Amino acid sequence: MKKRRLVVLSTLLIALMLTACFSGTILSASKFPELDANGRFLKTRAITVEVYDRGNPGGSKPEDNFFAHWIKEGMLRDHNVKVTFVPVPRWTEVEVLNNLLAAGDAPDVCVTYSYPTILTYANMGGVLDMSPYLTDEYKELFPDLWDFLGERFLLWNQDPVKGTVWAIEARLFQNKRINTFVREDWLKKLNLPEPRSLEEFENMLRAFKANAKLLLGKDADKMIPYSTSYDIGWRNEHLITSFVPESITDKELYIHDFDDRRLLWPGFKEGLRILNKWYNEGLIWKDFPLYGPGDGTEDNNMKAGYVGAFMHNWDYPYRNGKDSIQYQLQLMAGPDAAFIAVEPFKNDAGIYRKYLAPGNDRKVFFPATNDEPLASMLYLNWITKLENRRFLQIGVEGVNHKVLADGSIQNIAATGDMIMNSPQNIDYTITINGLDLGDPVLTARSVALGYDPVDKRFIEKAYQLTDNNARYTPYFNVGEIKAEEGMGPALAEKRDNFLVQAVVAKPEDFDKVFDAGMKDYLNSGGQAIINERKAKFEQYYE
Amino acid sequence: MVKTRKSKAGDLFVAFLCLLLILACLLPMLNIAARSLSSPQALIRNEVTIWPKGFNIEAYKAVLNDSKYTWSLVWTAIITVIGVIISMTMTTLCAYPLTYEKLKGRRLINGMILLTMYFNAGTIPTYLLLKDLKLLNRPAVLVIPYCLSVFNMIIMRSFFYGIPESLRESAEIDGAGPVRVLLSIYLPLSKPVLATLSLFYAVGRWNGFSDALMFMNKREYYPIQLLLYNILKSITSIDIQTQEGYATPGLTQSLQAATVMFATVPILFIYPWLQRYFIHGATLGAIKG
Repeated sequence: MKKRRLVVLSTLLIALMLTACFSGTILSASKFPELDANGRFLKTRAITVEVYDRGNPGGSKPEDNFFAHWIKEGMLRDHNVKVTFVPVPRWTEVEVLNNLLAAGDAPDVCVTYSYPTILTYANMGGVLDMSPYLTDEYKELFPDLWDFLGERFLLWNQDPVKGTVWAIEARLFQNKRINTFVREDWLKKLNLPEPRSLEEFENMLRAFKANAKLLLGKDADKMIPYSTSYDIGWRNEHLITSFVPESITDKELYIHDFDDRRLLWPGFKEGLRILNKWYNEGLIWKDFPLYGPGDGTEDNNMKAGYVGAFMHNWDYPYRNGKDSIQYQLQLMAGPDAAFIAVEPFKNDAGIYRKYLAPGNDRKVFFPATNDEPLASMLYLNWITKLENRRFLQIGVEGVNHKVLADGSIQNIAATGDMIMNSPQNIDYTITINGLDLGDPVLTARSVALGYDPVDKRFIEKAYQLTDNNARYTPYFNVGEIKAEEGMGPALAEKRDNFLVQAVVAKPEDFDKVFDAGMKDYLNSGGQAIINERKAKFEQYYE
Repeated sequence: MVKTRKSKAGDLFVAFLCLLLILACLLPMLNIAARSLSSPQALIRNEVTIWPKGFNIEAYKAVLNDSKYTWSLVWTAIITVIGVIISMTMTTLCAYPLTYEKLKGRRLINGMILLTMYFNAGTIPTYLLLKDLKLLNRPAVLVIPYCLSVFNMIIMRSFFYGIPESLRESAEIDGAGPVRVLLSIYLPLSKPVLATLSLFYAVGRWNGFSDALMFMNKREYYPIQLLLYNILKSITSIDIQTQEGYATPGLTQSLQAATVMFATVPILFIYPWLQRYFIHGATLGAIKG
C-alpha cells in the first residue's frame, strides 16, 4: 500500500515536473494574481505599441502586415494581450511623439532615439517610472529581458539618487563604427602595399595624385585622392583618434565625451592638422565644404571611380545591394575596381586603436497614460525572447531568407505583405538593433552575406577591422547632465563650421582658426558640460 | 513720348534684374527636369545640368507604376478641389457681412478676426482641439481647420468695399435682400478676386503638408507633398542613418527628380487659366485695403 502510494506520488511529481518543463515558467499565483501559472492574463488586456513608419518604396503598412500579425497572434496566445500598433513617421518621429505625449495620446509602449524628449516629459510627470517592474520581485516574469539586456541596459538610465528608470536601452548588437577604405585595384596598379602607417597612407595619397593620368585616363583632372565631408569628426575618425594617447583614462574619456565626434578628446587638434596639411597639398576633395547632409555628390564621385580613399561608416561602400557604391563602381570602372577596408593609423603605443560607443541603441519607455505596465513589460520580454526576435529578424525560410550549407542565413528581398520594412525588422524588435542568431560565428557569416552582390570577402574584412583593438567608451550613470539639455544641435553646428574652416585654412593660420573656433565652442556651453560631467563623475565614482 | 537715355538704361536694368529672377526660379526647375530624364550613369558622373543626358523615361514609368504616387496625386487633387470650394464659401460668407456698415459690433468682429492673424495657439493646443473635435486622422482634418485664411478674407473684403454702394442700394430699392445682393451683384462683379483667392487656396492646399504631418497618421490620406517630404527626408536624415547604423535604400537620383516633378508640375497647370484675373485681382484688393 505504502509502495503504491509512493508510486502514485512519484508519478504525480514527474507529471508535474513535465508540465512545468513544457509550459515554461510556473509562477507563484499569490504574487501575480492577474496572471495564471504560465504568465497569461486571466482577462484579456489590450496595449498599443509604437512602430516606425518609414514610408519606404514598395513597403507595407507597418501596423498591418504579416509580421505585425505574427506578433499580435503570439502575444494573444502567450499572454492574452491584444496588441495594436500605432505607426509614427520615422523621419519626423520626435515631433510627432511630442504631439502624442502632450495630448496624452501616446502608445503604451513608445520607442525613440531621443532621450531628451523622454526626460522633458518625465520632468512634467508624463512618463511612467519603470523601476518597480525591474526589481527582483518581477525578475521571474521577464527572464528574457534580464538575460539579454541585463542590468546594464535595463538600469542604464536609473537615476543614481531617486532610483527612477524612465526608459530602458535597447542593445546595438553589431557595435561597429568607422572604417578606412582605399581603392584596392589602384594599390595593385601602382604596386603599393596596403598602408599600415600614417606615412604609408600619405605616400599612397600622393601616389594616387601623381598617377592620375594612369589611373583615370581622360578623367585625370577629376582625381580625388582622399574624400571627406563637412562632418569632419565622423569622416576622419580613425586618423584623428590615432592621436589620442593610449594612456587616457576612462574618466577623461567620459568627461570629454559629450560630442560623439570626439572633438573634446586630447589629440583631436593634431589629427586635424594632418587633414589641413593634406588639404593644402591638394590631396583632399576641394569642394567638400560645399555639400551638406544627404547630398549625393560625394557618393557619386566614389561610384564614378574618382575617389582613392575615405573614411565612413564601417560598411558604407557595400550597403544597399545593387545601389551600393561598390557595385556601381564596378559597373562604371570595371570589375576589378573595389574599395577595401584597411588599418593604417597607429596610436602612440603602436596600437591600431578604435574607439567604439558603449553599445546602447534606442530607448523604450512607457508614457504616464499607460495603464497596462505589466502587459507592456510582458510585451517587451516577449519581443526579446531569442526565438521570437530571431524569427522577426530573418522571417520565413524560402520567402525572407534561405539557409546555406554551413547554416548561415542569406536574406531574400520579399515583396508585398511579407516585406520587411526595415532591415531585420528593427522597427518591431525594439530591444535589439542588429542581427543575432544566437551563435556569434553564424551571425558574423550571415551579416557578411547580407551585402549581395558585393563579394563577402570585403565585408568580412571590414567587419573584422572596424572593431579590431576596440576600446569601448565607458558608460557612467551619473543622472541627468543639466548643461547638456537642448545643446546638441547648436553645438554640433558650431563644431562642423569651425572644423571645416580649420581644415581649409592656410597651414600658418590653422592654429588661429582652430583655437578661435574651440574657444567659441567652449564658451557657448561646451565648457559647462565638461565641468558638470566632471563634478558628477567625481560625486558618484570617486 | 520720347524716352531719355537715362530711363532707357533704367528699363534695361530692370529687365536684366527680372531676367536674373526668372533664371533663379527656372534653372533649378530645369535641372530637376533634366535629372528626371537622364541615365543613372550620367547622374553619377555629374554631367547633367539643364539638358537631359542619356535620355530615358524609366523614372517616370516607375513613378506612374507605383499606385502610392498616383493615388496620392488624385487624393491631393480631390482635397484641393473640395478645399477650395469650402474655403471660398467660408471666405465670402465672412467678408460680405463685414461690408455692411450697419452691422452691429462690426469693429469688434473685425478686431477679433484680425487678432487671429497675429496670434495662434501653437501646434499642441491645435492638436488637442482637433482631437476633441474628433477630427484627428480623418480626411476632413486636411480641409476644415485651415479653410479660412484671414489674410484672404481681408483681400476679399477690401474688394467688396470697392464695389459702389449705390449698386447695392438700387438693388435693395428693387426689393433684393442681402443674399440676393451677394449672388446677383457682388459675386458677378468680383470674378478677379474670386479667381485670385481660389488660386491662393489651391496652391496653399497643394503645397501644404505640415497639417497632414501632425494630424494625419493614415498613409492613404497623405497628400502628395507629405509623401515627397518623407521620401526626401529619408534620404537626407544622416543623423538617423548614423544612429541606426544603416542607410535607407533610397531612390535613385533620377527617381527622386521624377517624384519632385510629379508633385510640383500639376499645380502649375492652373496658372495659365487664372492668370488674366490674377494680377488684376491681387493688386486691386490690396491697394484699396
